[in-house]
Amino acid sequence: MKKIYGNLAISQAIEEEMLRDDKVVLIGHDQGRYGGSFGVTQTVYDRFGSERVFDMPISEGGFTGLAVGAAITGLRPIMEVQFNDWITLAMDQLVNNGSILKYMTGGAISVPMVLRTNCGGYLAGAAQHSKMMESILAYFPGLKVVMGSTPADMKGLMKAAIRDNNPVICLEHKKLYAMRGEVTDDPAYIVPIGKADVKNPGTDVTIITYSYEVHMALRAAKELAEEGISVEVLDLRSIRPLDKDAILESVSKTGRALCLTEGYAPFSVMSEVSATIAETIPTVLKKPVVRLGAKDCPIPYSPVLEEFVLPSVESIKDAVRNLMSE
Amino acid sequence: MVAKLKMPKLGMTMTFGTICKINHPAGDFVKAGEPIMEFETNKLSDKVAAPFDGYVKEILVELDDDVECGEPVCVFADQP
Repeated sequence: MKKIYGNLAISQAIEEEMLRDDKVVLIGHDQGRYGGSFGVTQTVYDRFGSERVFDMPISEGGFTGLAVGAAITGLRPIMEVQFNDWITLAMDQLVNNGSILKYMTGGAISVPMVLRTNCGGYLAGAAQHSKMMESILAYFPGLKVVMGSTPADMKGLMKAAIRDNNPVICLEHKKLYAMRGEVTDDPAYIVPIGKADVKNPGTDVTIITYSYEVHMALRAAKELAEEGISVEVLDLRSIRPLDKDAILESVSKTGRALCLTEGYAPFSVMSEVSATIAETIPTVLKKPVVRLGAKDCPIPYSPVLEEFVLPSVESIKDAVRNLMSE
Repeated sequence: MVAKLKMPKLGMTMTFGTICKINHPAGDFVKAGEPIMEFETNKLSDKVAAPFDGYVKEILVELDDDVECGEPVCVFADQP
């Protein structure tokens, strides 16, 4: 299989689905000739032209409404918010229209749209370009939220999102755009929404995580193996719906859970994951569940401070060692 | 005058560039602004250009190498 970059894997997904279904259109900033600020749509405009690719003014609230409306009338828009930090501007249309219309119309209206956006730090992008917004988005019934950690998963999840008849938010970590991985060009390939994936099998501790943090966890797992600690890395891939079965199965086996997120742990996806474990299988736990996330602070611009605020391979290893201590 | 030319960092997410063409081997004369080698990232292609009229003294990378931003790729001098 060919190894390609993460951004180009997403690009393949978009182009394959645009070829398969002429209802799929692109809406967002710099989607056309510019090719997206991270080069995700760099060849789409040349292939599909201005009837399928729409550049938008700087008004996220406005064009999110446009995407919801287009979806209601039968198109399958893929819209982009240029950084997930600014999804706040799109929230009204998302949570007061997009996520609730199917329910409010008794199923008469579907909103088959995808909202793509990038997330995350470790790039000295400062506090307005480095956030993780998945916990806010996953809060609302009616929205699905997916976050692939490899080019193959990002492609497969994007294709599943485009084919889904509900609003799906795809959060793409900026660090993953330049990561290479094997990706199939089989147009039938998808990754189903709602299925987690064991990225490293292990027996002592489960690290439950997603997005770029999967790679931090894999590095920690490799180093901890040399200390004789066997770490299972479970990649959620889908934040909502959450693959509770996969979480419970893994933690039932290991009895120890580290819930790792690049976002803030309090009031987060990992609060939900820890509650799920505590509510369902409290007696299998050999140690209380541990959450590890960013320190309570806006994400700093200084690389030194950013490294201090965000989880590191070292802080992950320390958390796992604490779980293993007597 | 001797210059060590480096892999530039172009944009927020670039951490390395992949060498896709070496236009001039060691010994070649290159005019200011002309490409000595070309590289690609997941988003763009660009060149490492001669900063002044001069000679390639040493190429420090090979074709298809992933070179981290800021790492030297070439030694360049105004004398042969």
